[in-house]
Amino acid sequence: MIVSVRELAYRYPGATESVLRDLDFEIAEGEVFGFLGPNGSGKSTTQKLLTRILRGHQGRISVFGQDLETQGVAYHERIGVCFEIPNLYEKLTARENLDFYRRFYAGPCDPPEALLAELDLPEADRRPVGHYSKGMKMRVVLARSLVNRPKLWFLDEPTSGQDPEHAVRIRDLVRARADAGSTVFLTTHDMHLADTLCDRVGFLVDGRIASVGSPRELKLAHARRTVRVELRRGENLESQSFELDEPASKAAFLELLRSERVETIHTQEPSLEDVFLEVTGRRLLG
Amino acid sequence: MIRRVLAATRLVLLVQARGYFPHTFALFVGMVVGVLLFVVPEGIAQLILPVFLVTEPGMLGLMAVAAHRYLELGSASVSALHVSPLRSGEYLVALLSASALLGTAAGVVTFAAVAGVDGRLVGLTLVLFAFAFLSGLLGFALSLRYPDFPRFLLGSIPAMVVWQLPLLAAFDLAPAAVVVWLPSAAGILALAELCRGDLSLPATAGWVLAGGAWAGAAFVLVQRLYARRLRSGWELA
Repeated sequence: MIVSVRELAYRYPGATESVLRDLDFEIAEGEVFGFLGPNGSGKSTTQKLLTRILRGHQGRISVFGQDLETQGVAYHERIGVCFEIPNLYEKLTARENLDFYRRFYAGPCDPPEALLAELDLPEADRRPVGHYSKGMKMRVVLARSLVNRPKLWFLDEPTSGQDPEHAVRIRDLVRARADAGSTVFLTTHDMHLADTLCDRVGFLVDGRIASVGSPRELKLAHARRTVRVELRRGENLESQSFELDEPASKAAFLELLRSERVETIHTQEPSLEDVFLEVTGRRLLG
Repeated sequence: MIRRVLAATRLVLLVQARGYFPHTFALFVGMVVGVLLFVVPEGIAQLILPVFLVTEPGMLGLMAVAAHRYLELGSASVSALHVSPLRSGEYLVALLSASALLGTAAGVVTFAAVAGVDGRLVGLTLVLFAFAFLSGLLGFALSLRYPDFPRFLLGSIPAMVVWQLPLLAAFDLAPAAVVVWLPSAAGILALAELCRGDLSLPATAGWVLAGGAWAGAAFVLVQRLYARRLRSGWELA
């Protein structure tokens, strides 16, 4: 396991309540692990602890097979962090932002030009990033997080502010990096992104993991085997639902297929959002 | 470590250059030199030169460090530095060195314009840098107390006044024994003696050592305060 978290608890200095309580999860090498939860559930705090921005947790965090507390500069040589906000030097160009950042690393780094091109940012752009759109700034942040070829890559809402084309491009980039061996810790509200990108997701509510599994496993585990049929009756389009685990309903469905003109048939798996709601009793957004 | 400090220093200098920090220093130096050369009588100009040498690397340096810090806090860019291999102490050294370089350059130009170029410039540069570094540490420490630059400016006035008290001893307005315990005393008294031209090389070395010792001790203290602040999570995005 690249990341192993056991009984993790954390309370901010001066706070009366813990943000995280007995958190347990593991992430395998090359896995894209999605960390999903509503605002205030402890997602960012977990990421800050894993990236060592925050210290002073209880429980055990092991990364790269070593206790996080005992790791020094070498740990930051091996991780990349893409923040949720465009925390760039606004008066520097994108290339300068990446170029200065990579000088902090002793290990091999990717050239800024290649990373910027990969994220559809023209490297010849001489404008300071303060003049960029939010989407462009976020792509610079993403590119910066890749300069040191991270083995463990933390992504916080990586598609935030992106148009659909760039969101797909980022999703493909993350998948490609994971396929090449990087491990990805993804924090997001975007259920579609989590569903299409993550190998496994963990639902975090009130500082605890409520459920962990692959999106498909979770959806199947909470699915009702139901089909929804639209059929044409004269000028009217009608729809009916059938429970396939109920013999009478199943028989009615088969009879309908034989006797009526069926326009569409849809299985009714729950979305990841539905599963989240069912497991946690909470909506992801809001 | 040295590679990271140098990279961070270059980054700070570039960010400050794009933020017009050197322009501010140059404007101030231009005004000071103009006043000292063309408004104030020549004898008086030489006499009050230490006041400006204390102000440029000291007070301007202190404000430059704080302004840079608030700039980085505002854009949250400092968060990215702290998830890189750059350590908080290395960042502190880079920030203080970059600001001290600006302040030292300003002080050297002012001194050369008013007092001329002579052998004192070597000692002056060393003393100015040590004093600017120490003043920057004060600026950094004070900035940990205040959430934004306007409140910093207001809140740090008493500290700035106390910081410059050794000037009273430099002009024989107060006994040196009263102010010598202040961390700024070594630098200010050395600058005053350098301006009068009666500071020997051993004396310069002594003042630099005294200022360096204060800077070292203050650095350890401020670095610990900063590390504790970082660990609390308040500082970073």
